Order: sequence, then structure tokens, then C-alpha cells
Amino acid sequence: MGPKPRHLREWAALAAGLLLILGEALPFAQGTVLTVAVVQGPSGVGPGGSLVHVDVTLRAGGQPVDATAILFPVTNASAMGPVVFYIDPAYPILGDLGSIYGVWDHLGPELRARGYAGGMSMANATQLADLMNSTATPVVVMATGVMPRTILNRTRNLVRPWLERGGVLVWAGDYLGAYIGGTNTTDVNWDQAWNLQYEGEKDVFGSPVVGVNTTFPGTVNGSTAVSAWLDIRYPYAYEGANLSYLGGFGGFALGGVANNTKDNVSFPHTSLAWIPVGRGGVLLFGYGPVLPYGYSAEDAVAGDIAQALRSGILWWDRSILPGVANVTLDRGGVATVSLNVLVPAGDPAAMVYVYSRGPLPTIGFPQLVTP
Amino acid sequence: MNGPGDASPTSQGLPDRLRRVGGRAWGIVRRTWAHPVARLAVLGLVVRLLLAPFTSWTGDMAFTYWTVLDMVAGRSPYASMNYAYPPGWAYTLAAPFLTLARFVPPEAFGRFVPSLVPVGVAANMVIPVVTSPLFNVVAKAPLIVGDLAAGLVIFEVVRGIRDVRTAKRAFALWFLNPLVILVGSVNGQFDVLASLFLLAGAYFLGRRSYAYAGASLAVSVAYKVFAAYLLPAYVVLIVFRPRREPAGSWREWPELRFAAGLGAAAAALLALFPWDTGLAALLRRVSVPSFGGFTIVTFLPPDLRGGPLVSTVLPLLALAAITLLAAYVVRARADEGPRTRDTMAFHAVAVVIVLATQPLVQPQYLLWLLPYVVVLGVSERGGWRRVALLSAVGMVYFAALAGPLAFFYPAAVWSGLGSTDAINASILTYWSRMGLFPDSTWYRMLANLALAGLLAFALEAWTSLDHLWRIRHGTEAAPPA
Repeated sequence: MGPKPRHLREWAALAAGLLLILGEALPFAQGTVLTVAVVQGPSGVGPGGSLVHVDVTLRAGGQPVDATAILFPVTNASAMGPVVFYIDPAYPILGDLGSIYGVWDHLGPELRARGYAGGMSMANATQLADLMNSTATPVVVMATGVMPRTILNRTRNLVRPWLERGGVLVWAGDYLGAYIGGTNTTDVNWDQAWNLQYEGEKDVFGSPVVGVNTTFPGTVNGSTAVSAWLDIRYPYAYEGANLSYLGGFGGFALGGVANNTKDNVSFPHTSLAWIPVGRGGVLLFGYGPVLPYGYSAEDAVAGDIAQALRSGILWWDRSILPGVANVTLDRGGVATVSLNVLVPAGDPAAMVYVYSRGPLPTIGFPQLVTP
Repeated sequence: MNGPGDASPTSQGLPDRLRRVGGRAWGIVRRTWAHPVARLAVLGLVVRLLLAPFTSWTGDMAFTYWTVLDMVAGRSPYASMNYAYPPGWAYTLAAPFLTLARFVPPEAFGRFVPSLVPVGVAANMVIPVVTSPLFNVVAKAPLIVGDLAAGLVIFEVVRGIRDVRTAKRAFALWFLNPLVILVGSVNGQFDVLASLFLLAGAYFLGRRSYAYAGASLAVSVAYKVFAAYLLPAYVVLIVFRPRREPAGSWREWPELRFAAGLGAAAAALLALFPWDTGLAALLRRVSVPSFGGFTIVTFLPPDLRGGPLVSTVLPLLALAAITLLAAYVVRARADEGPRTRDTMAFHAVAVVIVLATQPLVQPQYLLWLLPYVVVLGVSERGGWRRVALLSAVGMVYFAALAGPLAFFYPAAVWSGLGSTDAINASILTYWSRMGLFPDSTWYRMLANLALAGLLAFALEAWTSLDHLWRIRHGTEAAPPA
């Protein structure tokens, strides 16, 4: 016997409810997209170091997966420090506040999807100054486009000494160090007397890294080796590091390259660069989290930050080329790839980083191996 | 001997059973086809199924796409922080898409289209991810069912108030309404589901099915939070109703039944809710709200929008006003309790209050109100004009956002029906400062449309309040024959 017609509405409501409850539980029955096992083979002796061999076994879950495995020697094997995100409502910003908060919102999930279990906190301008005055060297993420005057102004520079001690600054915003803001600053424009303009980056790096900026947005029109290895997505190089200057710092491009020009002079900038300063350095985006979503906004910025930090690429010993393997797996498919790399004598370890590529959300598996 | 009497039960039973099942199925089909709205429903479904694969509003469908990808990857819908709504819509998508994903790779769900990037930069409501026709149909199927279900509830309500002929007209006003079709079957926005369950709440309240009323209210909130404004009002309507239930049964305790329905639905829907990422996702947009659309906030000075007036004072005033209105409705018919039409009029005013005081009211939110406008409007001479006004304002507002071609990206990108470049060019021209609509003109145009929408709200609220006022003072006209 079916339901009586007069109860059809109640049955329909119950069925809708049951479907919702089913939908609530189903995602948890899917299992993980990719599992990874790394087995280190016996190390050998190579020219000036040790040869490291690893076998990486990748197993797809219920979905087909494209994955990349990369192995490279690193100069620093310390665990990634806690993440501190700067935001202070009393200080000015350049850009959209929602997108700036959005970087923070997305950053946690992106880092956790790559195995990060460390601390994450927010800091205001005063707390940031205290932090940079201390011996702590966490990863500081700034996406506001304006440096608070508590850490950088014409008479105070807490940034550079902190970087030299080992701090890592992630900057995703307008021209690094150019705009300085205080609590009494309501709007921001280039000509304000307290702005450091082109001198700001010199205070941080010692000499120009960006140099002359070009026309917004300076969309990249070419990739680099690292951007291809790590699937770096951020596309704008408007105020990114100039490739001609990067080498002088021992830095390198992680993002794509835009051959921008101004007054008929070519300025090849990159959308994401690593610039070492002392024992730390700056991960510099070509601009901030701007629209459109899914391409250059908060989600893309957070994804690239997580990919750069968790892959360990910032500490790559660039005298040695990495071993790289791209793998395509069917549903439930299994593949094993072998990777070899020379770890020079002064380097403490090699990093194996395996990650899944889209369209499903990226998950990453970093693992250090010692010779 | 193998005479008829000797046949085994199995060999004779199976064809018989098949015949019986077939006969019963045919009976259901015949009865369904004989339903007064069957032909209208088929017409509306055909229109929807023709439009659904080839259209979308990328600014919303891209988020649905990412939410689905999270769940296909075995994660909570909030894992990537792209989904920023209560969980109902994600849970609705889970079963169909997780089933589909067993046969179709996620690459077939959507595609990043680089040529949309400059359009996204210029007009910040285009996202350069375009979902496939297959994805669109599966995502919009629950919305099409929701449109139909809401239409049937409207039909039932109007049939109870008036007659079948009027009810049929009401169904047509809803189910063939271009705004309803645009929001769900073209854009892929899920407001109809929140609207359907609030309407169901009103319907069950009118039928004194208090457990179902509570559950419906909870499910509505699971789609969009706005229905939560009505919770205290429901409590007032139930607690202060005239007592007519037979003594000694649990029917004597409607408050308990309402609380049980509400609590059970809420508990079930929150059982696996990821409180860390889920709450962060829900609250993030609240921390940096957007403003505009069909709300009085559009017309507030910019300095006031970000302050406590909008974030605290207006919501509290709205909550108080809706609760007081519920008390008024109960007192208006102190002897017999609110009738269905009173309940509908109350919901119309309540939703108007919610809409008018929100920081941001987009045109798809008009679907929260439209069912009540249809139910009330169709019963009055010329009442359909109010439905037409509200629908037209919503349609024009949508078209004004990025031009009329912005809905057709899936057709161009996936099916070659039309040119992606032509759509891009149309939007860029529309948005160009050198074109017909410089920024200031665009904002003025939207503000004028918002004003028209608010006037439509005011008209609706006035009509409904007038009805409630007449009951209170005993001057209500007898319902027309």
C-alpha cells in the first residue's frame, strides 16, 4: 500500500529531507583522491655529494588523477614555521578588503591540503612590529598592499633585519614597500609625503627588485620551469620582480613571465618570485588578490602560496636540476615512478613533493629524505 | 497434464504481476495527466529543459562547480572555502553528482576559458570557468523540481482559498514566470529551494501540521539564512493560537511538535557539519558585506552602510517587526486562528521586511517573495499586475548586470551555438566607459531598478497589511465567488 493521497505532501517533504541527509553523508564515503608512498632506495656517491633515489607509488581513489612528483636538493631542512597573517582595520589598504580576508580564508585549507598542521594566526600592526622585533621567524603573509609604519618608515626598518634572521615574508599586493600607512591615514595615494615610493623596496632588499612598474595587469605570456613543475597559477606580473635584477639576489622566478615594456624598453617581470635576504627572504607576487575569482583572486593567491611554501622550492639548491615525473592515473590506478637526484655535500636533505593537478582540488605530499 | 489449472504459481504470477504493475503505472500516468496543471507543467518543463544545458550565470555556477569538485574529492563542501552558504544546496547536489562522477571524469564538468579573463576583469561578475551542458542539467534538475513543487504548493493553497480555475492561473503565473525560469533553469541559482521550503512551512502551518512546519522552516534555513527571521514569529503564531486540539493527545502540544520537527531537521542537517571551515565560510562574507540591490541600504549614505545600523540595528528591527506582526495576525482572528490567506499575507509582509533591510538583495532573492505575491495577487482583480511588476523588475535587473548575452556562455563554449568572442565583446562593450553605459550611468540604472523593486515591495506589503487590518476590524470583504 502506498501513502494515502492526503499524506502525499508529508511524504514528499520526508523524501526531500532524506535526500538531503543522504547528500550530507555521501562526500565522506568517497575516500581520498590520491595516496602516496615514498620509499627511499640506497644512497650512492656522486660527484660532490650523495645520489638519492626514491620510488614514489601513487594510488588513485575513485577518480582519475593527474599528478606530479618532483625531487630536488634543499639548502634548508627546517620545518615550515607558523603562519602569521597581517590585517589591521585601523590601517589603510590598497585593494578589496573582502579579497584580502579571502586570502586568509583560503590559505588554511590550501596549506592543510598539503599536509600542513602548524599554527596560523592574525596579527595587527603593533603585533607585527613586536614579532619583527623578536627572534621569531614565522611566515608572515601580507596582502594589504600597504606596509604599516610600525615596521617600515623613513626612520624605522624592522623588515630587513627580520628577514636576515630567517623570516619569510609573502607579499601579494601593490608595489612592495612603496606605500606606508598609519592609523591617521584614511586614503592612500602615491604622492603622500610619508610614502617611500621606489625607495621602499631598496630598504627591504638593498637595491631594486621590481624597478619600473609597467602597465596593469602585466599578464604573463610565458611560463618558467618552476611554474610548470609546480603549476603556479597567479597570472599578473605588473609589479613583480624584474628578471634582470633577480639573479643578483640569488633569487628565481616561480611564476610565469610577462615581457612588459615601457617607453620602448623591455622589462621582463615575473608573477611570483623568491628573493632571498639573509637567512630568510620574500615571496613576491606580481600584484595582489584581484578579480576575477578562480583566476587571480584570493583563491589563486592562497593556492600558490601554499604550493610554494609546502613544496620546499624556496630552499631548492639551484645548482642541481630536479627530477620530475608527471603521472596520469585511471580510477583506482596505481603507478610507481623512480626519481634520482644529486644532493651536494653541503645540503642537508632532498625534498620529494607529490601533488595532484586539477580540476579536483590540489592535494600535496611533501617529504624530506636525507642521504 | 499442463492445463491452466496446473500452471506453477511462478509461471502464472510473473506476467500477472507485471500486468498489475504496468496497469498501476499507467493509472498514475493517466491520473497525473488529468491533473488540472499537467499540460502547463509539461510546457514549463520543456522550456526549462531546452534552456538548462546551454545557459548559466558564471558568477554563481562556478561556485557550484567548485563545491561539487570538493565533494567528488571526498571533502566537505566547505573544504576549499568556495562555498559560502548554509549546507542545504551542497547536500542537494551531492547525490546526483557523486553518482555521475562514477561514470564521467570531472574534466567533463567544466572548463577554464582564458578568453573570459579580460571580461572578468572588466565586469567583475563573470568568472572564467564555464560549466558543461551535462553539469548544468544535473545541477539545475533539483531547481526544476523545486520550481514544480513550489508551483504545486501554490496551486494547492489557491485551490483551498478560491477554486481550481484560479489555482491553475496561479500555477501558470509561477511556473511559466520568466523570472522563475531565469533564476533556476538559466542562471542555476538555488533560491527557489529556500523559497519552496518556507512556502511549505506556511502551508503546513495553515494545515496545523506543526512538526512539518518546523522541519520545513529548518530546511529553508539550510538553504538560505533569511527564513530564520521568521522563527520567533512561528513560535508566536503557534503558542498564541486558539486552543482547539482534543485534550489528552499529543496534538494538544503543537509547540512540542513544532520544536520536534525543527529540532530533528536541524540536528540531522548539522550532524556532519564541519564547524571550523563551515562557520568560517558562512561568516566570511558577513565580515565584509556587499551592499546594494532591492533594499533600503542601497539608498543609505556610504558611511552608514558599514556601520552598526546595517549590521545590527536593521536586522533587529526587522526581527521585532516580523514577530509583532505575527502577534497581530493571531489577535486579528482571536476566535478561530489565522486562515491560510492570513498566513500568506503575513509571510508576504515578513519577507518584504527581510528583503528591504538586507545589506544586499540580488534579483534572484525576489523568488523568496514571489509565491506569496502570486497566491494573494491571483485572488484579486488585476492582482497579476503585481506579479508582473516584480518579475519584470527582476528580469530587467539581471539583464542590466552584464547585458543579455552573459547567460549563454555554455552554449558558445561547449556547443558552438554562438560565439564566445561575440559574448565577450558584447559584455566588454556594455561595460566600457567609452560605450553606452559608463559606470555612473550603470549604477544609476541599477539604483532606479532597485527603487522600482522597493516600490513593488511596498505595494505588496500595503495590500497584505490592508487584508490583515480588515480582519482585525471586521471589515474584510467576503471572498469572491
